[in-house]
Amino acid sequence: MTGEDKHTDFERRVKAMLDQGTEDLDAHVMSRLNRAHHAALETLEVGRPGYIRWVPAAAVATATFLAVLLWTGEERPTEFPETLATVLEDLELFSDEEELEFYEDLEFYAWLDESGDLG
Amino acid sequence: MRTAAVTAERFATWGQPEVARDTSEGKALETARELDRFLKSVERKAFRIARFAVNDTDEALDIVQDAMMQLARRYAGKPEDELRPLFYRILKNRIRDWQRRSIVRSKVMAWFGTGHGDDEDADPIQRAPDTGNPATADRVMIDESMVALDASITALPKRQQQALLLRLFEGMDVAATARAMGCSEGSVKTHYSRAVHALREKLGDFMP
Repeated sequence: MTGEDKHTDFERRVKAMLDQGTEDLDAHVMSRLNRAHHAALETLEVGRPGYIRWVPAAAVATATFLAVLLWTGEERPTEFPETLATVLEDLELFSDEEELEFYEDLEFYAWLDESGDLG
Repeated sequence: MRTAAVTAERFATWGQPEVARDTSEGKALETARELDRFLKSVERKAFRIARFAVNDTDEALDIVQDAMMQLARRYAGKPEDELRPLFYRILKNRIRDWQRRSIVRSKVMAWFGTGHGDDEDADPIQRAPDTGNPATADRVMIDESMVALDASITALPKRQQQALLLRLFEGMDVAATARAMGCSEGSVKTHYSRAVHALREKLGDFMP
């Protein structure tokens, strides 16, 4: 595929020397390459859809917006209506990644509970 | 690691809907393994290519790291025959960005009179660093040839350098090289041919 057999002797010598230079990389370079390699792998978010990453930030932004809106409103109720309080609780919930994982797994915990009852 | 073990255990006994979730995580792990293998296969050559282009070890390492991270973020999961040209395309763009910044920086430095442009026309072989302490006459010859080769490749025009390194060093075919360089296959052949000709002229004494 690379057509190496079509290379001239000169090209083959150049390639051999380039390959040799790659083998002779010093420890500092190898260490940095290794770190770069692992940093790249860490950017992969295994099994989690991309939009999930933005949920906490979006939730915080929305909560802030709502708070400002309520604070600067002409009428400031002494108590939040129940539905609004629920919304804010939900936003707080979604702004915490660990909590989010827990609620994602609620179905699993329910199943675990049922399995325990059966056993 | 503990989380992964718990997850694996959980999915081993859970019901039907979780099979799909298990498959999805399995696929993600396979993607990570493939990317790992791919990065191992290119990292050294990618560093050498960046090093030739920017002539600075730490800058080259930063550029390679950026390229790897961008590849992981945007293209993980692609088959390897697509990953390779994509990775080198990203690397080429990172190198180009660095070179642009470098040009601006040197112009600013020249404006303030602190540049070091007085030896820019010197022979790159003469400017190449001394590699030190060879043990035998053969080693001296090899080291001198290596230094001359490195300096000559560094001095090639950018497109010729890219075509030479991707085709000859990385072993990519003309089509993949064209995708990585963002040009036609005809241009790749022309740049490659000129690069080999220039090297032969420059290295005649070192590599007869």
